[in-house]
Amino acid sequence: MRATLPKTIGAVAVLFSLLAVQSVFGYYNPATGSWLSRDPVGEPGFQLGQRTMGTPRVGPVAALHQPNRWINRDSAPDGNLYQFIYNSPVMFVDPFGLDIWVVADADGLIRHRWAVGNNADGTYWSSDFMPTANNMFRRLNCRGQINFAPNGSFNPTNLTFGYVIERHTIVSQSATDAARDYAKKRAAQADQPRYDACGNNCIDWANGLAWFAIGRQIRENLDEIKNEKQH
Amino acid sequence: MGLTRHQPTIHLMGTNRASLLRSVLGFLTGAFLADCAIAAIFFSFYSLPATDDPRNHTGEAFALLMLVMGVAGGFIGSRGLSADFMSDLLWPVGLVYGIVIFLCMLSSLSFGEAAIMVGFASVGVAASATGALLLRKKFPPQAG
Repeated sequence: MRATLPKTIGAVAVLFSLLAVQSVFGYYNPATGSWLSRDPVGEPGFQLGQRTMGTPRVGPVAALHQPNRWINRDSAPDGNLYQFIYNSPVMFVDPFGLDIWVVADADGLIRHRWAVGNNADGTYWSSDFMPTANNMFRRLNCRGQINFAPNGSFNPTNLTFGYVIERHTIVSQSATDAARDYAKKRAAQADQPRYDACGNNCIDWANGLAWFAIGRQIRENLDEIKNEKQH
Repeated sequence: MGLTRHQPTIHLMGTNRASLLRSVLGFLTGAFLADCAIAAIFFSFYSLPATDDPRNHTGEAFALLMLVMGVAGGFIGSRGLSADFMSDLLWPVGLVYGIVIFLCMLSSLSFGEAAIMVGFASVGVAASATGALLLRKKFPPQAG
């Protein structure tokens, strides 16, 4: 009898997990189309998005995000709910509402990558990491140079031919600002890192900035949750 | 009992195969063939940038391929020239693929880019292994 209790609990847990799909921020019940717990991100993602972007965003972030539910329809113009993540929900996520992109050249055996973030005023900052040697063998491990452009006109949301979005991570404006400030500070330092084709290259630099912003965003969210609990 | 009966055969086949000279010759042959094959295929699909463009990483990719597959092809060639059976090349070839995939992951390449690099590595592996085995057929090792 005692042995059957854990089995029963286990079976119930398995059944429950079949009904509820765990998403990033909690359990989602596809039968009712709702989350079982409140999204811990809450309104700040939406509010920041509205304040900084000015116009409603495409996709679920554009909808007014109230606790537990959306109160207006998704604003995807063509009805494609995955457009805001380039039709690739596996590769891209949109949990918070603002942007940092990893952009790549469209052509090349190994394509150059760089990071782009928004400045909340219609301009975009960008930062990339390049080798400084002009010999292909010396470029395998040579002095690198971080280039930082604070106010570029390069708009990742309206790309021309020759570029592709490799990654689009949505974080708060403060997180993109933090990534921009880090890139700016790093580019100004005299001891810029060595460019290593195998270990510390443009791909690592661009993705590193995106991860930096994500880490910053997670810390901000945790602080916010902590403050809410304290009050 | 069975082990004792087969022991002299194993002993005979395992001797005088991997002499230093054969290893060195096999290494040089394998490295040369791998690099030549990769260069031939590479330049039929890609070209190095005419001017110094730090955004263009084709040259770095080519240099990395030549270095890694030079060593890897040499390793396969060295084993191939002293191999008793073709299956002796299985684990060196597997190891080379493992190293190439590891380097692609270390470089944070995308799946498509890594697939192209592995494709080039396959050309080098095939060239060095085939060359070493043909050379071994022409100059078989002396047993005993």
